Amino acid sequence: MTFLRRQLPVVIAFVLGMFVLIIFYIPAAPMQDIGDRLKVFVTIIGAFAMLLGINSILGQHITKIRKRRPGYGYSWVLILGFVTMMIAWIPWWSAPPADSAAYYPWGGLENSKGAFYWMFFWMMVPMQATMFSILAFYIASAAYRSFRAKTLEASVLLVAAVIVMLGRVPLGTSLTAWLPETGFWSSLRMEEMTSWLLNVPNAAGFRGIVLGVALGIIATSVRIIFGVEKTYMGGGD
Amino acid sequence: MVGERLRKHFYAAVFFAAYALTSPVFAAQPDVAVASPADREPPPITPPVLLEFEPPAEIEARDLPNDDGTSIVITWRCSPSAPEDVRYTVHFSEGASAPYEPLPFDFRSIGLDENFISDRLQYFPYSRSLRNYQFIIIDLTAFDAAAEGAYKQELKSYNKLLDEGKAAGPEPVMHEYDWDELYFKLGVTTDGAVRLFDPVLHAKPVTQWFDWSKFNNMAMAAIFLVVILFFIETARRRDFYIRRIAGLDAVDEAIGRATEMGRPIFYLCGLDPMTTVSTIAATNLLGHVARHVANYESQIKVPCFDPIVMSVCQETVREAYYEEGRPDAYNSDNIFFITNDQFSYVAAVNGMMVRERPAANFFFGFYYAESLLLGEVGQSTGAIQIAGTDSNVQIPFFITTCDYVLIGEELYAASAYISREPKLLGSIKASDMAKAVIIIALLLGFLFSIALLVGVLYDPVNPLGALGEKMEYFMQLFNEHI
Repeated sequence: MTFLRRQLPVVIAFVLGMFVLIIFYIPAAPMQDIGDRLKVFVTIIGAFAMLLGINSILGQHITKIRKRRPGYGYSWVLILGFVTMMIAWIPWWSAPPADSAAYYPWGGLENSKGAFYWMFFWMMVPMQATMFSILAFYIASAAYRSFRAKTLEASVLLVAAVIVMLGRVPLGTSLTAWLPETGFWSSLRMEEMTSWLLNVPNAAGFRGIVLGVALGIIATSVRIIFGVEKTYMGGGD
Repeated sequence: MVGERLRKHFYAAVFFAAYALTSPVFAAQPDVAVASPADREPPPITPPVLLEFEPPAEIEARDLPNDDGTSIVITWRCSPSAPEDVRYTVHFSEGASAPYEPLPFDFRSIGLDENFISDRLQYFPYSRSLRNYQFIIIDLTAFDAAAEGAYKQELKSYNKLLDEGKAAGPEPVMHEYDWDELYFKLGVTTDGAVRLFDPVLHAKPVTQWFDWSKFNNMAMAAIFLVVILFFIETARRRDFYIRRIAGLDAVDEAIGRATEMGRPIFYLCGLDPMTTVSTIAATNLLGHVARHVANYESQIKVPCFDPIVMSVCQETVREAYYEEGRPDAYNSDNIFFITNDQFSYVAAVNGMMVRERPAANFFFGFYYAESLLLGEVGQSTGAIQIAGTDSNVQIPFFITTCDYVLIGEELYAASAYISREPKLLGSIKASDMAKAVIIIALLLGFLFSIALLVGVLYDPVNPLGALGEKMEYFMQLFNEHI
């Protein structure tokens, strides 16, 4: 039992990890085909795991309804939505025909071939867009908090942010449009300063993080492949 | 009255005549009207711009190196001619003496100032002498794909005619290209006109069993692997210093706070699947956090974006509770799947944050646009927030909304930092060593750049000679990969 729970996963991780590592250096089609087949395993496991996921979310909400917990009405909404979408999808088991979606100037893309697509385009997509649009307001509030010049670092951030923001809009660039386009003084033009900030200090910081992340990924992968790190399997190190 | 009417008619007639004489609508088109179909198609005339184009030299075709044996590459030395709107193209034939025709698939012609072989170190060695050479890669599988596409189209039309009861002729047969019998010619094109150059090009693709362009990568990986294993082994005998990471020190504080307040802890593993290392790192960290939670008798909730991640998290937390002797406190319902739709997931988690007011939120793993939505809502509920991500573009959002942030590699070091397990600390030490090597390489690159800049002052064509060429090679390599 210990072998199945502890040693076998490590052996599988080592063998497959080393195999995938090796075929990275072998472009020959037979090896790449095996690699592609291994990736299909992930898809298959994911499909079955989705059943576990559905069981998890439905179980949660059915329990909530059964125990009459506060807000259990929303659990009804979830279950009804789930069942409705599933039933509406059954007639369209296969992918919709290529010409089944039409573009309407008053509402965008619409599929007239079934309730599933109607609900997807006219309920799901607007709700997703609503969530995404909230981001604009959160960016404003987060920027306000970050740009308060309380410390030297925050002040530097504020100045850099103002330059980048102004350098990205015509009104901002027009402030320094009177400076010459070539020569030394051109580097003080708003768009030039913006480019410099983005391409030099910002890119340098980004590359530093990327290099660190790459090394971290390699080190973690080696720990997993060689069975040094086993926390992800549950249990001790 | 009559005179006035006549004058109006006269003006109208003059206006019409003037319009008729000048309008292209009324212009005589005798040639079009009387010309035969053969006359309508003028003989192909090569425009002067193509005739005057000096043919490129050293046109060659050979097997594309470091590939799976499905492509060939055509290379040539740039022509001194550089007219506008002229591009390189390739035509093919199925026999050395057969007529040449355009490639049967979408092929983007190559401009005179692109596809230089010095820009593709994967296939060509870097050398100053090769700066003026261009290339085109021909993927031979595209011929087969084009033949299959044409066959399907013909078959569809054939079946349609059969269904309509019309004469459909012989059943279509898929054309098979013999790769050994494909011949090519390089040419130039403008406005649909083409001029092909000699020689006839032919090459046989060969399957490669090792990608030599990745040799340096493999060598570096092997060295790094040895260094990691060395430090893991060394870590068994001696202690390694690891710098303080404030975000991880605050984990205990956050769990303690949750215990005191009697509120749950939310732990998110990001939006990437279990196949990404950042998610694995997040689940590693979850094991440690869950152990502390079990000790403090607090409550942890893990809303998951991916069902596989959910299963792994359930197992990780369950084992942590068992190891701490608290199997009774483990509740698998606290590690649950929500959805794998990005904004639906955010809406659900944000809703739970607002309703349940968690004392602490942990955001580890890889995040996308939802990072700020999660962070801001969590911040508004007054929770202590600790984030750790290797997603460059999301780090600023977490910094603005969270109390502590593990930046990039700190996420990968977190497991070792918390457990203080010597074997894990050894791999962190190895990463530090690799970083030291990279810093030295960057400093050398900086010195190379300065040296090259100074060298250009004395010799713009060949600064620093052969040494300068090597420097350029490394800089080119760096720019391609970083």
